[in-house]
Amino acid sequence: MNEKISILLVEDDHVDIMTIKRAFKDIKITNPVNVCENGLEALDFLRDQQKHLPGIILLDLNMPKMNGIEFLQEIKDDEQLKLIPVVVLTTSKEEQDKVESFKLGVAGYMIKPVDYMQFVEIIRTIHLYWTLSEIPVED
Amino acid sequence: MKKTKYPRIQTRLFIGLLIIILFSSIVNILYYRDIKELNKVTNDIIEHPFTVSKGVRDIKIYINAMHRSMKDVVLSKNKIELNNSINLVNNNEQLIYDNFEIVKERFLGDLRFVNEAYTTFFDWKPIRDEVIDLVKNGNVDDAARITKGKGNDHIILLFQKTRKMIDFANEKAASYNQDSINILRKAKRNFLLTLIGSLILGIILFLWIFFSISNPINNMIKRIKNVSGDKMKGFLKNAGNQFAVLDYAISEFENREKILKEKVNTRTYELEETKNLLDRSIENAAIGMVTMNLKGKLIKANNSFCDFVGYTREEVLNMKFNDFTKEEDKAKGSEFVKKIIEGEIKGGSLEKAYMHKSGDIIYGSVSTSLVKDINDKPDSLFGQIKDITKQKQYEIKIEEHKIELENKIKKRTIELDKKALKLEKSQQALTFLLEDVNDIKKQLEISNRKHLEVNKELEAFSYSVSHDLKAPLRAISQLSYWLSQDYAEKIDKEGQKQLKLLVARVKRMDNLIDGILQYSRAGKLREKEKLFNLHFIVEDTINLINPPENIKVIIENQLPEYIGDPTRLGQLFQNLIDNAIKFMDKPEGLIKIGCRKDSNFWEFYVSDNGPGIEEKYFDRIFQIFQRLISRDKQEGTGVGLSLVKRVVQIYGGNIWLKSKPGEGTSFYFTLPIIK
Repeated sequence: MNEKISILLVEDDHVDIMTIKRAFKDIKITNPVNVCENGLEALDFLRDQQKHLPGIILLDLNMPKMNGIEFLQEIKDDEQLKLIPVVVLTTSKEEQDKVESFKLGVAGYMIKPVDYMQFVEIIRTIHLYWTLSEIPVED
Repeated sequence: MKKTKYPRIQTRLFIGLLIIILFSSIVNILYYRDIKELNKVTNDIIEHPFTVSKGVRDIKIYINAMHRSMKDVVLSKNKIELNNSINLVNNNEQLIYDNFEIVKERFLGDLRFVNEAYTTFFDWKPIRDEVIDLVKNGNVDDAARITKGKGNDHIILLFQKTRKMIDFANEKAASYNQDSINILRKAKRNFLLTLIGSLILGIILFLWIFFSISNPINNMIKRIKNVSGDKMKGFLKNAGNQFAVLDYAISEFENREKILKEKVNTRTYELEETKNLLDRSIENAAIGMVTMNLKGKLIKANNSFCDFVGYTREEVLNMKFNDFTKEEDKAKGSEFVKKIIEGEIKGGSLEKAYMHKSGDIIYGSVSTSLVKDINDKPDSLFGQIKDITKQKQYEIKIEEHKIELENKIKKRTIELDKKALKLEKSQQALTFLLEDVNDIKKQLEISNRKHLEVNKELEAFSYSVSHDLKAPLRAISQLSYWLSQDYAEKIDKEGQKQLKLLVARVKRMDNLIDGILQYSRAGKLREKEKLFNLHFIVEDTINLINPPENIKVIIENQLPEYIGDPTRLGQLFQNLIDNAIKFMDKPEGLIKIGCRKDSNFWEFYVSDNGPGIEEKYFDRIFQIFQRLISRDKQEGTGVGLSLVKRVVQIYGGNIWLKSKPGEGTSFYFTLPIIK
């Protein structure tokens, strides 16, 4: 069931997008992936896609226009969007960013490692999470 | 005290006795009267009804007997019988006669009845004699005829005559009987009345005497109870009777009186002692003391006063207080005394000039107070006079000196003014100097603030730089990794090796950036401070490091509790232990951790038996990114020790080391004890 759902990746770094997509491929995740380069774009995308909302959002924090925290604040006020689990995927080890994110109800907070193999492990963990965890599904 | 007037107990008893005597006398008199009356009635009964009734009854009987004897006389057969019958007749006649005598003497009724009966009886004699003569002469038939005829008639007459007499006697007896019954009844009633009367009187008397004795006693006991309080409580309940209580109370009061008397004696003695002491004190006091009456005449004066005015005591006691006063001050003195007597002022002191007997003027400070009698009326005045003559003389001298001094001061003041002017100038110079200092201080503050801001900016800068550096670094790392993976066949061995090196260098750079991040974070203000046990933290750190089996890490003594950020201080130990492990060159490594307490700081140490550090590098090792061994030989960021130093400095401590190359290194650092 979870295989059909789509993944929304909010990320501005192209190498990171490549890394994540490659990691998906390596661990054979076939779900459709949508990419938005910043929060604003992601918000537009979500509001446009009313009917086919993604099953999970992977969110970077450092982004132009609208950063990850601002994006989280936006979707928190939206009755529908706030149901989508969000996993933060960032370089920031700042305590403030962690606290802020969890206050805004994120499902996970991951640091992007430099080493690719470690990156793959992280994605595997996220995958494990969304395969095992029940996620609310739209009727 | 409530005073109830009660007659004395003897008086009461005497009155009671008198009442009883009076009452019994009345009763006796009443009884005597009744008994006397009864006696009289009884006498009467014996005198008359009894004797007379018996007499008249006997008369009747003997008349019958006599009549029968007369018949016997007529019927007698011989002489002897005749004589006997005659004797009988005579005897009965005699008895009738005797009884008539008694009746005649005592009869209370009409004596005519008796006399008539007696006369009739007397008239019988001739008839009797006639019959007896006829019988004697043998003329029995005549005698029998006379007896039956004349004799019988006469006897019947005699009975008739005596009847009236008998009736009267009986009637009289009956009436007397009734009288005696009445008297007896009356006596009974009187007796009953007196019995009730005496009973009531007796009860009243008893109550009167009872209450008049028991009330005062009970009142006394109540008062004793009040006076004695708790002491008597038990006794009052247990004592058999009131007298025991009274007895006890009296002995108690005797005791108390004894104690009181002793106390009074002691107090009197003490008072006398005190009085003597006071008298002596007054007499020998250094200042003059006098007592005078309200008119100002002196009553008492002590030695000092006499000495003061130069008069003898006899002279003094004949004078008035104003007699010593100097003419000008007399009005002032009188006014003062008057005010005290009238109560306008409570007392106080006054300075006066006096005249010594020798004519010298002397000065005294007099304090006067009013002495009141028991009724709070002014009684006398008590004055204390202090000789201030010398003082006055000094005052005059002082006044002279004062003038002299004032002149000197004036001179001096002028000099001082000049100096002050000079001082003012230098003060102004000082003010300018101070202003300059303040300006510098302000500038310093500004630069300090700027410095802080720069520091902050620097931190933010280093943070964001390291952060932003990471993204491309990651890209390089991942891209080169993919290159080595995706194009493995197209890149030869040398190329592969270079790519591997590239990844490794990128990893090193990542570590360096992490180091910078840590260092910059360490520079932030101290926050999240709390009390924690350093010993536990260090133990946890050792566990986290998980040292290899050939290296032992031991804590030599108990580490203290400390107030600070546990993570940061844990990091401090971690870096030191990490270094020791990393550079360990001996097969059996030993790392020792411990502390000691100084007066105001803790000193910690982490020592190892590793390679040691040459002294010339002691400063260098604490600088950031400085390393003693090439990175290619030993991976490391070069941040560890500089971070340690930073943390120690932030907490206000010092860090230093002792080392011998080849033998080992000991790092020491201090943390101040926060009170």
